[in-house]
Amino acid sequence: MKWIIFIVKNLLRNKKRTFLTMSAIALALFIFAMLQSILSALEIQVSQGTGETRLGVIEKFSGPRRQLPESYWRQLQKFNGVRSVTPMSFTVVSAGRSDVYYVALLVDPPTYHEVFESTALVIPNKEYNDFINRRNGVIVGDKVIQQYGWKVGDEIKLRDLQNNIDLPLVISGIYKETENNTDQMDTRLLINFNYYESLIDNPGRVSIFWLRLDRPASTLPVIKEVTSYYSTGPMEVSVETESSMLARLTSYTATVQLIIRIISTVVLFTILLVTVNTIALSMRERRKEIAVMRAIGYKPSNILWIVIGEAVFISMIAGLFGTSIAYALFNLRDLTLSLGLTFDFNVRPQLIAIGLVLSIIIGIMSGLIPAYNASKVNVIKVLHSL
Amino acid sequence: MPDLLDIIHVSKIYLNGEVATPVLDDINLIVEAGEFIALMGPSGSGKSTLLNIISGLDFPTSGSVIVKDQTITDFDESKLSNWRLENIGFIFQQYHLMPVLTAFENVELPLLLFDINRTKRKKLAKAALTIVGLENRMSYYPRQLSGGQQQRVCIARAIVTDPMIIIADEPTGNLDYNSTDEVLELFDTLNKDLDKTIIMVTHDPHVAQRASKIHFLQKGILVEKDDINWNEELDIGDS
Repeated sequence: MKWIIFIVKNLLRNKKRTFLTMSAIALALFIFAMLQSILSALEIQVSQGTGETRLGVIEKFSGPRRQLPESYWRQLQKFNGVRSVTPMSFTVVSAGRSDVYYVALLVDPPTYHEVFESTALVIPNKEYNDFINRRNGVIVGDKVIQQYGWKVGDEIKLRDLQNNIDLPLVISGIYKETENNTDQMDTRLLINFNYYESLIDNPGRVSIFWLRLDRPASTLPVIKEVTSYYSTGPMEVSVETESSMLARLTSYTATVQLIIRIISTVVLFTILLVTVNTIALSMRERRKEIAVMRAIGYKPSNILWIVIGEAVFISMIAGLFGTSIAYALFNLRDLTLSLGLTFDFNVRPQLIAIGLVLSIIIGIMSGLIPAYNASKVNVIKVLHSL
Repeated sequence: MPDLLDIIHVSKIYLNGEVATPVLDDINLIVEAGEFIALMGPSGSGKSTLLNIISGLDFPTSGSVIVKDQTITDFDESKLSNWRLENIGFIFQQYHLMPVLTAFENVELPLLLFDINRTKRKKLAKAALTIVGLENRMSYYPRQLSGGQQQRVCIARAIVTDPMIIIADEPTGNLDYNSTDEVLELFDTLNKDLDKTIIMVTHDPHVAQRASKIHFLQKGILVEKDDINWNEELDIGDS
């Protein structure tokens, strides 16, 4: 504690340089926090749905981008081992604000419940029944609800950006994310597939058919049978387990994750070099003072720890600032939702702790070389004479 | 008075590649506790090197320095740092105060290495600043003080740890007549009232005369005072 004043006063000797260095570290940690939150959002996306009793059926060559005929729905139900089939398509909607978009899943409420029990179960029965019974019902993620102050039973009008039509809807229920279910549905909406189909000009197309199997052992036979059945048809399909389907849906994920990791590393390494240089520069300017400290009894180890202490102090404050700004910024409702088109970019509180640890590591590493050089200062040479 | 410092056959040779430059040649000197010694000599005579060796900042090529029965020339760097902290007070010609620290914080600087609390540090630093007459300038930064005041802060920093020996290198070299006199008065106080042993390097014979003993170095050798041609050696003919 007694060193704090000494460290702070040394850092304030060149306020502009300290400010710029801290800003650079803060910015780097801000970018790091942001990239990490994207990374974790992607990881969550891929890791969702571990039940291998669900299979996804998509167009073989283009995936969900090329929609399958709705007629496949009935056909798929006939395969042995398939307990239930539900269609799923996607659209993008806005709710008044042109700069905030949400992903809406177009689902068939009864079969969706059968296939995705875990998701449907977090919605109260009464609300989900309303969603089943009301054609223009909509289940809205609670983050969206909070954004607009809606409540169950409200009549709302969303703008569908895919087909450029208005969607008059009634809120049937609210989807709340739970500790055990973090599939990020709280920033999305579920709209009745049939109702949506009735409003658009070119109905009858489905992005994915989800199959719920009666048991895991049915997985391989069903994949083989369905693939074979459609191999001669006009539209060949690919059948995959839910996890591999999600991986396919986010086929770019691995590449994006790699790019994010590379960028994060480069950002941190760059800032490390910048900080090393700044601290080394500061130490060069203070060689005479360090020599005096050595003369009056400071050991090389004392100098080493003081310099590292300065580097850690500056880096820690900046790191805390950078990650806190990221936390504050990305947890503001507006920003979360506007970025929540596909993923929820919330910066988790743990990330602040990680940022803090990283900034301490940056501080230690950036202070190490200048600190070592400072501790080895040749007192006589620097002071010329006493 | 008992011997405090014993310099025995100390020689120092600087090696620059294959060129050997002898700086000190078989120096033998005894300093008693409570003495005020002035070291004089022309530039390059080795007085600063001798001062560096006495204060444990440099090592002799041969010979040894014994301070209060401790052969400091056998100490390693870490032990020497500790020894300097506890036994030596440095006063520099250029003051060498930390510009970002106040007078009080500059004086407190050596105390940070001791395991003492803030109250005790404050008491000691304040006492040292009172001795040098700067108790009302504690919160001033060096840039806000005159040269004489800065040198007095430097003296306070040197005595705050209550060292046995004060090492002063041209302490009045940057000061005007009045400030020089004030500093020398302080040296008298430190020497006579606080029993500090002072070893001072100076070019100025008037300053040297305030010391109880003057030693003269010429080409790395200690010479007797009677053999000195003051005007020639000190180049003070025109001063």
